[in-house]
Amino acid sequence: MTVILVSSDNQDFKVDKEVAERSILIKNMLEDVGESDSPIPLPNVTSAVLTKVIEYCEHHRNDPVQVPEETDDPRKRSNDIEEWDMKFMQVDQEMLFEIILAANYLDIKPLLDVGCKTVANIIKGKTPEEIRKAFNIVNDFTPEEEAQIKKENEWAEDR
Amino acid sequence: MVSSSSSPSTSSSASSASPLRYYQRSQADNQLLPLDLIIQIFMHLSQEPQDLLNCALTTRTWTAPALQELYRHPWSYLFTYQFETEGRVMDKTGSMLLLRTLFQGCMDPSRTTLPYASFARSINLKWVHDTFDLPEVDIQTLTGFRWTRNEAPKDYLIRHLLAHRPYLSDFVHCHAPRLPRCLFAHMTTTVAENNGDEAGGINELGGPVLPTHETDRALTAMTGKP
Repeated sequence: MTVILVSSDNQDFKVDKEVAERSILIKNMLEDVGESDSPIPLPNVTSAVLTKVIEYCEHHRNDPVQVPEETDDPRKRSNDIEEWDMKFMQVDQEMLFEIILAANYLDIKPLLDVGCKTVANIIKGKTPEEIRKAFNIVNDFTPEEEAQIKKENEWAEDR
Repeated sequence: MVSSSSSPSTSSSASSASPLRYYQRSQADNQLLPLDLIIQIFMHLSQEPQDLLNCALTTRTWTAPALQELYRHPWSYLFTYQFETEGRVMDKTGSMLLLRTLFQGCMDPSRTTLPYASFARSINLKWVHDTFDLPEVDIQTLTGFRWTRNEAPKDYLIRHLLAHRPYLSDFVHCHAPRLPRCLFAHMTTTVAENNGDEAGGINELGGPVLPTHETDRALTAMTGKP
């Protein structure tokens, strides 16, 4: 059985139900609607992003469904990203953030996780100035604020 | 004061705007992603205190979420394991600095950037005691106050840390090697009594509290009653 997904720029995507149901949002929608051929509009996802998301869901279509207890707290999960996912996430930053937003909206936890881990990996080992540069962030601290935060959290330095 | 927890003005999933437009619009105020997603990213850095601190110093928008993650179990970063001696070694300098920050935040929250003590999701009683008892610690200098009793500042800090934790269940996981587990059950019940509805599911962990000197001392610290 196939489902038709419609991106925000009105492109139709025909995918297997099994693949589409990697998205809990779509899975719930299909359950609510029952047997129906009507296309599912996804007004928050552009076709470029939806293409990527479907690629991910196709590759992971046979993954076992995660047990909620295991997935509740990202801290308890491993920080490793599997090789295919790592390659999949080698996109420009704008696309990376869009995939994260789409995964959040479509409720695809494993994809959201991989996206967040990828951003976390970009942050790792960088100084605040390097992080700002990497994400095009403007420094909005006064020198006094910066000094106070540093002083209060001196204990966390070099750990 | 850093204007903390500035909530995202638009939630991407709720608004009709596409993620792309959200992304572009929010560049101006350093909001790469909605706050809940930033929090998720920082969760993946929970083992990296230095990275969390660097995030806190990157932009005001990140300060509160990064430091909340850092202060969930702050003491956990201050131990190193030495397998030859089979013991955990506490970093003294780091512990004293953390204690100072936590204490300042308890005494007068307006003196610290954020209410650090309220972020703690566990309490390591042994750490509090051991740090206060360090020979290098001058309690008056560290806390900025004079105390007549050595135990008083400990009591004060522990009571503060307990008062601010909203998730009782996390306390069952606290690390305090020399204290019996039933103490925590008792502790959570005690706190639960004070907090009414939050108590769900904790009582079943209750057990008799061993009348050892150690537990008496710690209980005094927690309940304020001898």
